[in-house]
Parts: sequence; structure tokens; C-alpha cells
Amino acid sequence: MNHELIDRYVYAVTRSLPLKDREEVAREIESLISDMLEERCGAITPTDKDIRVVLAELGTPQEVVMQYSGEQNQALISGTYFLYYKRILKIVLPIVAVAIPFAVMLGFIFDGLPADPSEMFSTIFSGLIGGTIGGIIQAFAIITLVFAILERKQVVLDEDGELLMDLPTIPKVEEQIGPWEPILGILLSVLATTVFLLLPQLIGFWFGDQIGWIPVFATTVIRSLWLPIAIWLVCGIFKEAVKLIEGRYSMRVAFAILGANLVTFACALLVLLNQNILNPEFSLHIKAFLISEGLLVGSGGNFIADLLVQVNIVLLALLAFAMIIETVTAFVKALRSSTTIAQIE
Amino acid sequence: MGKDELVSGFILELRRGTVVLAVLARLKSPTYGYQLIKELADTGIAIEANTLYPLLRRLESQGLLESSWNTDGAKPRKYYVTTDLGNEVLKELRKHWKEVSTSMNDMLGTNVT
Repeated sequence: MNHELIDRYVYAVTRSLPLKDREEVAREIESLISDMLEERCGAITPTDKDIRVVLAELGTPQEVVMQYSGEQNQALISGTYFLYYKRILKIVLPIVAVAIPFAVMLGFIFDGLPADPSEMFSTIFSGLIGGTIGGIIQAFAIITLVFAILERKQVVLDEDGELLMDLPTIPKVEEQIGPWEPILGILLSVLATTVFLLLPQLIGFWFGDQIGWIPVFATTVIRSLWLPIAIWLVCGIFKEAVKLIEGRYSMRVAFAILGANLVTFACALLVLLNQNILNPEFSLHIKAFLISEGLLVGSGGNFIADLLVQVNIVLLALLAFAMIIETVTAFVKALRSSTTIAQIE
Repeated sequence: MGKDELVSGFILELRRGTVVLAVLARLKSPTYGYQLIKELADTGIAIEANTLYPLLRRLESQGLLESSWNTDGAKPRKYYVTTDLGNEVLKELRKHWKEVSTSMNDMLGTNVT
């Protein structure tokens, strides 16, 4: 009798099973095969062919393992875990895809770039593309690992009862926040911050052929203020991320916007009220331009002209205005939605 | 998916639910796996060894069956028998089965030849 074939079959099944079950299952299957052979051959010694027929009847080792593994533990992440897994991935991956290029850019600012243009281009290209793809893969791997552990340990994410109590109210159309609005918001803030930090010379005025393009801000001063600018960006991303997760205007979103805007405004004060933030050349040329146009009449003459000279203050005011509108709107929408809930109850 | 596949899928689902009932009822007296397969086959319930053996282990881990190796015979065999808990569960299931089969027969009886 070819014991080796049976031994190999049993080994193929048991090696995929938990350690504690292996010995017992091996004995069971050996006993079963022996019974099946006896049924088939009676007192005659089974041939190789008999063994093959019996093993084929029993099924492939993979089929047997599937049966022994049962319905649980068939998937790495299943059921409720998979729902949460998808939701988290949808939120985290776009943020990573935006945040990493920004971090890489910051790295270029502080570590400098090679002077040779082609070398510089390849450094930027490989840093951005490689860093972003690597970051996305890492985030994906970490989230997958965390959920695989949750699944394996069968950690309870939602008590059935709580789930019913937590049923969200259906937001009205005007209270809903589509996913694109926050994602676009994050993209724009990252883009704006990158330009502001990396290429502030792009923000400027054209003063005619003789003078040319004059940047508004002093590049070195702006770069020395990178920390408040970075916090400013983080606040912007935080605000949009909360909107993305909630998917509607709620009190939570409103307070997140209020808090983020307060911190943002503090950072904006630090940056824009810095005495040296403006390019001195710009102040000079804009004054000369205004005088030549007859707009600047003495000190404190024309209001608009004064504003143009202090473009940083104008920016600060515009920013404050936009943030106040945004915050108030968020609270009004959140309050409106919560009063309709109260009325229903 | 063809009709035959659909039908065999549904039959599999129907059988999966009833096989536990059959096993618990059959194992009132100690029996080993292969003998159980033959006994069930004799009563018209076909179940494959690779389905039954894992099922027996599962029912044992749920406390419905208990097992012991008998090494007295020519070769060692694992005998399974229904526990007290298994018998209580069987009682409930049997009651439920009678209700379901009565109402299903009522419903299907006039239409199915």
C-alpha cells in the first residue's frame, strides 16, 4: 500500500490548519481514508489506483482545508470591517496624495536643489512621484494591516443597539457636502501654500517694460515664516477633512471650522503683519506709480491708494471677511438642520 | 448562470440547514464518521466526507457533540455522541422543523406533483 501518497495528502491538508488542530485532523483523515479503502477493497490490499480514486473522491487538499476552516476567517477583512475599511481608505488616501507632494516640496526648500537644470528636474520629478506613490502604498498597507488585525481579533466596532440610536438624520440637499468640495478645497490650499512658500516671486505686479515684474512679498522673509504658514495649511486640511468625514453641515463641522479659522487667523496675523513681509522694491514702485498717476495726494490722501501700498493689510482683511462668512454660514446651516430634527421629534 | 447551477445552489442551501438536524439525531448513540456517512446515505441524505468531518468538529467545539478515540478495534476510530446540550438543541430544532415542514407542505402540496 502506498502510504507515502496518503501521508503527502494529509500533510497538504494539515499544514494550512492551525497548529493545535493539525495532529487531530491528521488522525481523523487517516482513519477516514482507511475506512474508505476498506469499503472499496474489502480484505484485498488496496493498489495505488485505489488510493488515488479514494483521495479524488475526498476532494483536493484545498477543498478539504476550506471545509475545515469554516465560514469564518475566509477573508482578510470582511463584513462591517470592510465597510469601515473602505470609508477610511477613501478619506485617507486622497489626503496622503496631496500632503506628501507638499512635504516633499518643503524638503526641497530647506535642503535646496541641484543647480544643474536637468538634475534639478529629475530630483523634483523622482521626489514628487516616488514619494507620493510610496506614501500612498504605505498608508494603504498600514490601514489594511490594522483592519486585518481587527478582523482577526473580531474587535466589536458597533454595538447593534448603539447603531440604531446613532441613525443619522437625512440631510437636506443644501446641508449636504459632496466629497469633491472638500477634496478640491484641500488641493487648492496645498497649491496656494506651495506657491506662497516655494515661488512667492510669482505673486507680483507688472510695472511696464522699464521696471518689469516686481514681486509683492519678500521671499526670504516669507520662507523664514514657514511654521505659521504650515500650521495655516494644516488647519485648512483639518477643516476640509472634517467636512469630508461628516458629509453634511453639523454642529461638529461648524465648531471645527470656527476653531480652524481662529488658529488660521492667528497665523495670518503673524505672517501678514510682519513688518518686513512686503518687498521694499514693491512699496517703492507702487508709491512712485501712484504719484505719477496723481492718485497719491500727500500723506493719507487717497484711501484706495493707501490700501494699495499696504497690500498685506488688505489681504488680511479679505481673509478675515471670508473666514467670518464661512463660519457664520456653517453655523446657520448646522442650526437649521438641528432645528428641523427637533421639530420632527 | 444556468438553471441547473441555480437549482444545485439552492439544493445545497436547503441541505446545509437540515444536515445539522440529521447529525444530532443520528448521534444519540456513539458513531464514527464514516459509519455516519453510510447511515445517512442509507436514509437518503447524501453528505460528503469532506463536509461532514469538519462539521462534526464544529459541532463539538460548540458543545453539541463530544468525541473519544476508540483504539480497541483493528484501527483507531473517533466516535462522536450528542451531548445533553446537543439533545436540548435537537429538541428545539425538531419542533421548529415540524412547524416549518407542515406549513411548507401545506403551501407546496397542491402545486407540486
